[in-house]
Amino acid sequence: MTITIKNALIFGIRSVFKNTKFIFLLWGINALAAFLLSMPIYYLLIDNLNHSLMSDELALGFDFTWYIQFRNIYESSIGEIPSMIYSMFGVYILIQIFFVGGLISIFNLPEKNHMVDFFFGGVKYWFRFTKIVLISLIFFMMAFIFHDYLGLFIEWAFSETENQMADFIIRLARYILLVFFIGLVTLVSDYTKVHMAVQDTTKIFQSIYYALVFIKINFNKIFTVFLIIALIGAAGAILYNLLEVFIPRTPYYFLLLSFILQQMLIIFRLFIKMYFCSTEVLLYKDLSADVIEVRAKEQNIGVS
Amino acid sequence: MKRFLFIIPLFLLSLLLYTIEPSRNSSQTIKNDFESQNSYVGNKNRNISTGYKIYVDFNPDKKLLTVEEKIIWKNLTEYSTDEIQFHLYANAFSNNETELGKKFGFDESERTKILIHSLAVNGIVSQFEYFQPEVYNPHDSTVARINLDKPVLPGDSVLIDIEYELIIPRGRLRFGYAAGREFYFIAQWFPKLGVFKDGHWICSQYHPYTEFYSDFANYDVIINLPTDYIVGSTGQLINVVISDSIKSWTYSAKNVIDFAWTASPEFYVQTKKYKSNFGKDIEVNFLIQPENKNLIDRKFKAAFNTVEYLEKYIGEFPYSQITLVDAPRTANIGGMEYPTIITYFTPLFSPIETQRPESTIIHEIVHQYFYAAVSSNEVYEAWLDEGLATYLEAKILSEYYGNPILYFRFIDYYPIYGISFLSFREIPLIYSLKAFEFEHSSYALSSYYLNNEIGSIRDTSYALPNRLSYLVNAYSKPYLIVQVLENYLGKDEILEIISEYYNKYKFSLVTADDFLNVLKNYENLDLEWFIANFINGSKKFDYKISSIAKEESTYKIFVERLEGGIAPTEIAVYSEVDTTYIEWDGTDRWKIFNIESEHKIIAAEVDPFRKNILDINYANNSYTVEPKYWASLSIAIRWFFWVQNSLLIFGSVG
Repeated sequence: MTITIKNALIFGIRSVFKNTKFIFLLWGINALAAFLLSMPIYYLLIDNLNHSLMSDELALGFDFTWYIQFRNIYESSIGEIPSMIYSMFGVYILIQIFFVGGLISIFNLPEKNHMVDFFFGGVKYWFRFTKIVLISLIFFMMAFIFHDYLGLFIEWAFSETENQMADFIIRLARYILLVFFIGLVTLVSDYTKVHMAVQDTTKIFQSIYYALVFIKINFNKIFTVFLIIALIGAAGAILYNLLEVFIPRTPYYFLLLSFILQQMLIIFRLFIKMYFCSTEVLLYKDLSADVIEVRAKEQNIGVS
Repeated sequence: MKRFLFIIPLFLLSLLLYTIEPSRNSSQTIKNDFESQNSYVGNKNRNISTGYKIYVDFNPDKKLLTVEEKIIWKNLTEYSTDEIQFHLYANAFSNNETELGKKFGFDESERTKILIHSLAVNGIVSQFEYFQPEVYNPHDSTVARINLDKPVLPGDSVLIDIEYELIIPRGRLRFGYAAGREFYFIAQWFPKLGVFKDGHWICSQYHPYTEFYSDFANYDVIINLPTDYIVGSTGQLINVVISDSIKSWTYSAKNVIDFAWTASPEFYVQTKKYKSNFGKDIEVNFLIQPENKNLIDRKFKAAFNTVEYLEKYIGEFPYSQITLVDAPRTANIGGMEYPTIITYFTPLFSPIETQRPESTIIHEIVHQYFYAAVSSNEVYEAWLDEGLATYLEAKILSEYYGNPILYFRFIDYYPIYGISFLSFREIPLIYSLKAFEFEHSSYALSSYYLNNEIGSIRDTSYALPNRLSYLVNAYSKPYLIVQVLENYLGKDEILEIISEYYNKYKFSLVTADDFLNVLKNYENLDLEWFIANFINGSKKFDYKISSIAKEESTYKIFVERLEGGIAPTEIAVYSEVDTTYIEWDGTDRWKIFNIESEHKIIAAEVDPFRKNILDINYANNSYTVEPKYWASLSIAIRWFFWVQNSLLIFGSVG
């Protein structure tokens, strides 16, 4: 019997709960990277507000004029931040490749899900997965180039027409297409990694081909599970936004409360990330398994 | 018999006259009637030196204007002249080497040129001599002169007849047709006289960023076009005559500085009357694109609110009608002002919180006061009308609509309330989705900060080096400067000054000095420091309190002026129980104020009421004895969270 969507979701979540300690590892790295990217901003803020009454005003609410002044005063420092962020994104992706290797290892061998397997898997698969990510990045780059050219085409196509609504809808469709393509590449990339880890193979292109065939054959099941988990993730984000509105900015314990809520959302999103991973391993292992039909024949032997 | 011989030459002469009389159609009859009115100059309005009679055939199939233009110019000055100078603004679109073409570049469909068929001065065939009064450029033919055989003496008149054709280009920079639909906006389309003042002509080229300058004149214009077209125009519609498939629209505009018109068979027309406080009805005509009908009530409200505010605070609306033209996107016209006719653009998604298209409608209506009625040279002193229009626009928006809400547009169209801090390919990566209100001046400040060093508002506008410096010195900075003046004098007072300026110079050509004289004479206030530092100067402002040190019972407050701009200010000294205010002229580079206080002083602040909004750093205006970490921490934590989310999104690639 092949796995049902319901079972994939149930077994997947059980696997995640059995490995909750890894969520905290992922969270720690995420927080560390974010901390490194936040320190420059913090020091700029301290430089600007350390002895200023503006600090009191900003504690109560956002001041747009202060914001544009701040941007103007620290223009050169702030100008460096996007490149810092993009560099950190690069490093972070490499670390994530390591984590994904570890997660697939422990979800692949549920009976041996301990730290050593996690790190062993991370190291073992890192190089293979990096190659997969590089190939994915080529596709992402192609997607963005296509996105840009499509944008120019739409601009040209609508340069002589007044139908702004159609222009808007087509531009929106362009973004949806981009997101869909990124999602598809990510899905193929994920299942390629799972295939490589489960089959313990290093043949990248063969694995990509196998992942494509696998996704094609089982698209409905794979995509439904993917969508359900994505919707659970979105629900968490919506819930956070609904709650966050009601948290005042002062006094200090509300800032703490807000921070706790923010971190809960981050942990929840990491949980969702693990959930994706565990269901992918489950689905792959189950749906790619050979089904052997065993026919038992009842025989009366030696019975009188 | 001989007695009757004289009849023969008389008969022959009559026959000759009959044969050379051109054949006439009904339009021609209208034209002759129109010419016979002969109300060119100075009949009703004092000091009107120029009259235009323009007869135009518009052929939409060929996108062609065929024009007969008669100009009578009477020299009402005390100087004589041996030339007459003309603007031929439409020639700016003739090639990519004109001053306008070099900056914007026009493709084939966007090019046009005034094709002169005949030109006569007082009936004598003449010709234009193109020249460039400001920037030498042999490819630029936007200014021309006619050299006269004999000078025009004070009190003399000249009659100029011009026949020409003009292809209407694809819309670009205020003039042209909207690609993909039948919409035409016809501005800067006829040879127009320069301004003869103090013995010389002021006649500027069409420069890339600046607008226009012309004298007050009377216009009588007949526009012939297909019957299904609806026309909107400067001036009043006198009559409409239909003959076969042609409709002739006759307009009369008295005492205006320009004449623009629009035509489209697609307009949805709505007219309402506004009851003026000055006892007249003002006809407000909206020519709406059919797809934008749903916003008509908001647009009328914006127009009525504007006139109401301006009549309440500034003075009587200068005309008895105004036409507001909803320009389609592909016309590339945006918001622009002409006497009694303005254009604006309606975004696809226009929630009221974005205050669009209200802001444009308001701004352009204000220009009926400052540009159309009080007319300044927009090529040299663009700040004078644009600054006041931007200031009053902000006042009107605040009065009727409150503060706007920050938003960024998703896919160029859909407004999303919040701030996008970092985006990639128009995709917001780090953003905050909240409805943040902000003051109108903040937008002007954000553009001022982008260009707070290049040029002052008094610099010659057309000579400013780039578009940003022009926009800042013509719009943002003068608005902010008037706002600073309001902060120092009070809102009622500054509106009174503007009102005095308007009423004194209504229907006059003005210069910045006229405005400054009104300012200087206002209740004998000493505003020299203001004029020197804010209007004439280009220096930045930044005051700082560097430290508060205690020596026994004396607190030493160390104040610095970090930039060149000087503004008198107050210093607030906050103790645990009260606040003390100290007046300071703000002149010294640094100053130490010694304060004796029994109570512990906790902070001091320079310019505590934020009068000088051009101060580039409010945060250093104050100094607290105890350090403050709270806001820094709070903002950094939010940033930390946003970065965490972004890392998760990008990390999913791995």
